[in-house]
Amino acid sequence: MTKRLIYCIFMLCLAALATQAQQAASITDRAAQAAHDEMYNDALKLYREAEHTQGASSALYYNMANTYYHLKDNPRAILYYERALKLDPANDDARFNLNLVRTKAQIHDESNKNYLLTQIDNLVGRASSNTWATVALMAFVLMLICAGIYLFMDDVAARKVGFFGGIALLVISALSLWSAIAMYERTAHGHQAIVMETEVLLSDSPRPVKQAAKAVGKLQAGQKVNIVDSIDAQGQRLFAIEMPGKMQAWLNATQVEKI
Amino acid sequence: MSLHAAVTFVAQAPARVVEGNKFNVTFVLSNAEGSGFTPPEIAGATKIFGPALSTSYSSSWVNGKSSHSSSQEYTMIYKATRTGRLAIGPASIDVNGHRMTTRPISVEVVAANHSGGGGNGYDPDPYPQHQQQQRQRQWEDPLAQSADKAVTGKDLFVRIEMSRPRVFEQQAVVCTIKLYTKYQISKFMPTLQPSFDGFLIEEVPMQPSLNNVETYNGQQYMVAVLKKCILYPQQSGKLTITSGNYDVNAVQYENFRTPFGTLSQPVEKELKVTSNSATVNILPLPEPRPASFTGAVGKFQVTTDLKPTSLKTYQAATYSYNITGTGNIKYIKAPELTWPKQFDVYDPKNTVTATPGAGNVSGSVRIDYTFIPQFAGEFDLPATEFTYFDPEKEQYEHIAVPARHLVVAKGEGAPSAHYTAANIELRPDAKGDLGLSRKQSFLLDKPLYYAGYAIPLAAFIALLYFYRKTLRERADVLGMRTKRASKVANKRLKNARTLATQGNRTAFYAEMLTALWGYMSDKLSIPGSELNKDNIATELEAYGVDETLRNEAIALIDQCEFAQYAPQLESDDMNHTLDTATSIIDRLEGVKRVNKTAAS
Repeated sequence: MTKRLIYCIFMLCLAALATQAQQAASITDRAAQAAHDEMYNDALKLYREAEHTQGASSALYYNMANTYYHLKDNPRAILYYERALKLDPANDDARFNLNLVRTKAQIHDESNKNYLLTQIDNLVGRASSNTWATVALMAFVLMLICAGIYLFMDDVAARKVGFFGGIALLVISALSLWSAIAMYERTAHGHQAIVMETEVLLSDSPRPVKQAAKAVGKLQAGQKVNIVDSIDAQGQRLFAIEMPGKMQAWLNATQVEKI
Repeated sequence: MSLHAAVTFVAQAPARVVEGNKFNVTFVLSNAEGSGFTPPEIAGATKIFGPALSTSYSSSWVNGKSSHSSSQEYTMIYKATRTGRLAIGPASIDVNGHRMTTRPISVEVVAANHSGGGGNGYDPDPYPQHQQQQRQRQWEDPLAQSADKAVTGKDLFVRIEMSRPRVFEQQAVVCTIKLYTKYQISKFMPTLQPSFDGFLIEEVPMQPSLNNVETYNGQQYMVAVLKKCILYPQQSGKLTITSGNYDVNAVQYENFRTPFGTLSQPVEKELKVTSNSATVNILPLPEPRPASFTGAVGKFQVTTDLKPTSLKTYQAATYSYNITGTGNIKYIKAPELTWPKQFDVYDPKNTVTATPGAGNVSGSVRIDYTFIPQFAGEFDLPATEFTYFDPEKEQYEHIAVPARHLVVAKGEGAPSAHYTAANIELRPDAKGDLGLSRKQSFLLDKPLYYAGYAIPLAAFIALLYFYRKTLRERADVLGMRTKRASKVANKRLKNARTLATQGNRTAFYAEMLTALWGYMSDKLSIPGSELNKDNIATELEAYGVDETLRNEAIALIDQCEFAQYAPQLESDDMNHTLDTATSIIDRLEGVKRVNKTAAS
């Protein structure tokens, strides 16, 4: 009798789980259908609901970004492409569309990094922290194998492969680990943000500026900023952002949206 | 920096008084000192008292700017003797040798049984203590005040007023927040500002001051406008402006009689005042909205212009809409235009120049469409219309914007990346299961990840420790022996040289053979016992020694073996043999071992 009861409860649970899963699928499917029918506002609502009830994914943010683009909300489209890339830096579609939307919307980021550093940054940004960490670990284990080959094999050629291969793998492992840490810093702490307002005036001190003449700079909607500091002043939250030339500038936290 | 305001001389009197009542007429000279005041005669009123002179001086510092003002007030008290309009003629005064006069004003005297309120009578006198006493002291007389009298919500309150009870979405509605008081105010602090959810706000700049008198619910109050703003409702339905909270200090006067008259002493009372909340009914804009409607509500005019007028390929030009008028001018979205595909078009930019007026914002907005023609030829910008909603007429109005014929000549330049990008489609949405998940985990956060390094490393070290003997031997065998080979051989050859000088042939060749075999054995890493004349050629070949050197080496060994047992050979052979051996070993040292797999 008890067995039967347990069985019944088990089956009921399974059924409940199954319907939940089905429902889960149907929200994003309905969103996709709405987007296909160019009902972008509805699609967005459904995508948000899916995010709220089931969590996010790179693909979800990517689809939301596309939807925002169709709604002509370029800053939010850029924000969501960046979020998609944050979850999965290998999402090439998101990278492609991000660059396209930025070109279309004429958004250029001011960067104080030189060409080489930017290239290194881009390369590191191509894979997630976890991917880099996995590569680093695999390279490390392979390095140990190479060291073993060098130490235990008779064959001189094999020993050479072991020796130079080992050194190369050690370098790869170290660089990958460094990249993994860099990506971890970039994603886990989220100090990057996208400007949401059409024109944001920057202040050289932690207080908001109202007049354009007193601003130390201006930012355009859709531009990416690095947040380096934040304070609460007069009930407002202010962010310090990185500026070219090792300068800092302040803006209101409501003017940007963290990636 | 001190700021001196203009010298003025004005007469102030209540707009309306009751017949038989006393009323004040005050002549205020601001920012100057005068003498020889001559009051006017008023027909229909008798002078009771005056002129009484009071002087006030004030200076204030605001944002580092100081401002000073002074005033002399000559107060006359009259009694109205008949109904109708009383004309108060000009009063005059000498100021620095000039004679200044006031503008004539008039006072309406109503019959004593006239019960209507005073309207918005202007009375700057903060203490019109002698007037309207018959009306149950509606205006609190400071002389009759006392500190023990409670200040009620009827004496001091804040009101939110809306200019209209119902408006359309995006139609301007003026919101005024006013302080009504019967007492003087010494301190005023908002603790909670009203919130304007659902509205876009355009604030009208103002300096709050108690400079107005208004009648509200049949009673007269001093009124200060705290805040005035023009609101644009963003959604239809009932929108509420929540009440605000204020800390106010009201001043009452304690009177006491002395032999010299009545003295009054101010007593402050701290009050917490909550304003009312106001609601406005927002009507939705009539449906269907025209396709060309972009949210403009008000009254507008449109002109367009094109700069430069002669277009060239790859050279930027601007087509502008100039929209002037009154309404939600800041929130007008750029109308969408149908551009020829051969143009690179940038997002329109709005430049607003607008100022808030009494009831709405007026000004102009310029919408600039920047475009770069990419091909020469003739193009048409089709005729469109600019549509706005006129809330007075409650209908949509259309302004026709004529078509433009654009002729593009050839110019210098190259297609822009923006134009190319504009023709590239976005990559499509991700399909199917989007892989939603709540957790994003990082390997770097997990101790197991670091164990991934530690465990193989520990295993490796253990392996090294376990095989340490073998490793040491291997290091000797492989590393040292080959290196030692020539060293040992050279030592033996040196030995052989001394034997040769001694003329000991047998011993010399024996030493030579030991040196050669030993060298080969070390060099080829083959034990001496396994090395013989049969396999040495193949081993040398496998090592990578070329044929001539191989043959020479074998010939030398042959020669030494033969000479060992053939004593008849000449003695000078020994030195020659020694030289040959040295040269062969030298050359063998230069040979690099080839890869075994490659050789086989």
